Amino acid sequence: MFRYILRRLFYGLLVLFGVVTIVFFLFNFKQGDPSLMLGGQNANKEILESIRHDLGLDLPLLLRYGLYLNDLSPISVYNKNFNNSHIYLDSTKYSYVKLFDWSETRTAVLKYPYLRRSYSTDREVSDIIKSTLPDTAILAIASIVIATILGIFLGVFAALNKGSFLDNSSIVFGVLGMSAPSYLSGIIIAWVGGNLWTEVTSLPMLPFFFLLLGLCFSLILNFKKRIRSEVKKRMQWSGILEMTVKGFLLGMAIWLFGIILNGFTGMTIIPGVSSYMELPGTGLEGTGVLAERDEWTREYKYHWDRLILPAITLGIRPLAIVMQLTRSSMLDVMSQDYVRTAKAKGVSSFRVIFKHTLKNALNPVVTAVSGWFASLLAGAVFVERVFDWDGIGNQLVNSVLGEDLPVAMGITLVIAVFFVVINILVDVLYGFLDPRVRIS
Amino acid sequence: MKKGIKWHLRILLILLLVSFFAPIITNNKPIYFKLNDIHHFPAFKDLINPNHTIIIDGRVLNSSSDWRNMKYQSVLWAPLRNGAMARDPHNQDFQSPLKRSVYNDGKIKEITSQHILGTDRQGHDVFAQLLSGIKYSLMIGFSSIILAAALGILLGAVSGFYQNVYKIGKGALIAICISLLPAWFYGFSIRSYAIIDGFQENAINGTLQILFSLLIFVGIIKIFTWLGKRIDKAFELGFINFPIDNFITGITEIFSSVPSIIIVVTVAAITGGKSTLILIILLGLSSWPVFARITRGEVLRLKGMPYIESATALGIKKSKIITHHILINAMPTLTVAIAFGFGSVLLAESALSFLNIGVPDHTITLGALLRSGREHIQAWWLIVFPGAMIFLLIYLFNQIGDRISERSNPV
Repeated sequence: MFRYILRRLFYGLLVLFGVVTIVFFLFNFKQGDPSLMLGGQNANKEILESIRHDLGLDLPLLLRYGLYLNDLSPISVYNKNFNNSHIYLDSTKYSYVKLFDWSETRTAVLKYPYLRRSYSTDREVSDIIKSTLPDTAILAIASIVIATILGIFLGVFAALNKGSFLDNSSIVFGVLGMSAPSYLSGIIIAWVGGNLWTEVTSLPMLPFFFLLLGLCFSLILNFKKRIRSEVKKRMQWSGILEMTVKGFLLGMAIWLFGIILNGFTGMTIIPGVSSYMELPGTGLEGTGVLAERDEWTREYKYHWDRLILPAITLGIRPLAIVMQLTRSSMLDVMSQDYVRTAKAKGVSSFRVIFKHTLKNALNPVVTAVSGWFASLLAGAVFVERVFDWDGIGNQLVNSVLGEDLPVAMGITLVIAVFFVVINILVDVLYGFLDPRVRIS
Repeated sequence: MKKGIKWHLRILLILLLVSFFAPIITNNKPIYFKLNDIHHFPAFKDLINPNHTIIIDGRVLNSSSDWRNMKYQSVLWAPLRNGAMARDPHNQDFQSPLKRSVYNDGKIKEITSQHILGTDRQGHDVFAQLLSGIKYSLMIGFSSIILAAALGILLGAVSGFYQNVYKIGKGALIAICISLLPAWFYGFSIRSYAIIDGFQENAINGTLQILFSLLIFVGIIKIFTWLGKRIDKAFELGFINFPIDNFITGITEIFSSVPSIIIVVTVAAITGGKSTLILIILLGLSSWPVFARITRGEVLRLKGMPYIESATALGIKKSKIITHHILINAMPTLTVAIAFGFGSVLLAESALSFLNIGVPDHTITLGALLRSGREHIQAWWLIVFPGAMIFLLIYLFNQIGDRISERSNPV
């Protein structure tokens, strides 16, 4: 097992090295002159030349590649006499541990991987990533939580009531969710939730979310069985209406409670609820950055209600997959002999479903979810763009549009690292679960 | 229950035809007119080159009112009189399809269904833009999937068939290495302007130019390889073993470890010049690893079959075994991969044009329509119709892939 993990790690490092190589040469293959951008309009030739020298753009391509690798690797050699900050470590600004002197001018140091500085803002790239990655992580975690919980519930119910309306609609939803691109569903959800809902009802997002939840659960509860009689069908529809209205009222009540508390005490107990409504920068309700800085008090204000719409959008695709997988593996397990035995022994149906069947049916779902977590980062690019969420994907697109090479390179590398690490973790998990994988 | 793909293919064919003949269906220029006893067919010329100009009496006709106010001897208009590139100044600022559009013809008269899917901010007709967006999407999809499939199937078949024992003569190896330079020079470096010109004219011309370049490239390499083999036979230089399988699978692994859409987004923006050719090459290069992996698996599976052994025993050439005996039998799986790949390429293209990255400016695409809808979200017709179209295209290709795979391996 240990040798297997070591081998996977070595392989992952090789892949990362290849990724760094490809990314570097793709980005440096043909690029505009950043010195023109940095120097401004009035820069003369000497200034441009000095900027180019500072960025190391006058060096040959292969030497630049070597220097970039040197910056990225934790153990690196740097020249004390160089002072162009975009390539070499500045000893006064960055902490490092000195290992030994290579020669009179060169020193070997131990440090964090250095991703250089942004062209346009002159911030460190690792700093930018540090400030934007948590937002994306919050978004990804929220969407994967929504997707797994709802997906497993819906999948179990669909499998238990095979052939019913709920089952058929879950299949249709699966196909739709797989085909719809995330930016399209994002725009539609932004339009419905952020514009149509507020225009028609002039209410905030929270009741909308609860209304959706109520609709989901009422569908689950009312379409369990295939019903033939007309009267019962009518009862089904009224039941759905009742649950939806209940969900809406619950959301309204929570919102009102939050408003009253906020109005009387000035506390925000329920996140995202305050007594006044404000429009974010995009002009849409429920979109915008998570942490907004107050102009006067210089404090960050968190808008948790803005998480709802992007999380739903990002969660649609994993939700469809989790639902399909749960449904098919539940159907698989339910036809096994031990489930029949358990039923014959008189075990309660709740226990049969949740202890005997679901536990065994969840294995493929868990691996699928862990695999999807990495690709959520890639899918987040469009969702963040649509909802103006200040995450790593939006940062990537902004830096790419502004031709800010170091930032774009750094973010691409970080996403690649995430992919490789998660792939290794999944492989190790597989090896742990299935001894056959380890040997081959 | 038989699940056919007949209807999916029919709908695709209809979309293809309608988008290809879009200038005849909806155009601000007449299909046919007669002036000074000369017959003109401007809408048909739009089919071949949308940027062509017609000069009459020394005057270039561009705007819709120019066309409308001409004194024709006889004229036949298109069924819908809105061009994809033409602005309608009377119906700008997001005209809803539900409202009655204004149609000003010197004397004012109103026509109810002038813009059947509404207009955008500049007054472009959404329906005409939708049709040309479909055409652009399908064109990009076809050309980049051909590139990706060719590359992926070639590399996958080679790595699966030879595995790690690819013996190559020293002379041939040196000859191939030498030949790459003149092949690249005569194939692409000299002809780069011809390719770019071809794509500026239209897509078919550009694709033909690229194919011609590829032909030159492969031909030069082929001649050098033949020469190298002669040298090998004459001097008996010996063989080198090249671990081709490890090499290709390693590259595949690296390419698939970064999500392709991120590579495409970043590189498309950074290569600077927004051109359709670069976009096609990027999309093709980013989606070949899937084909390589699938082809490799199929080749490994089919290689152990008895009939391959007998073909080898008969002394058939290895390249012929790969093409005539293995790849033919791997066709169903590859078709499925191509159908799914088409869907993902369409998705990537519309995503790029949604972000306004890589796609040339003033190109009408479905993603660009969606972007203008995102900027003015009250105009629902700019979101719903292009969105539904993207969704329909991806859905069709996914379903075709699903159903072919269901048919080829029935459980």
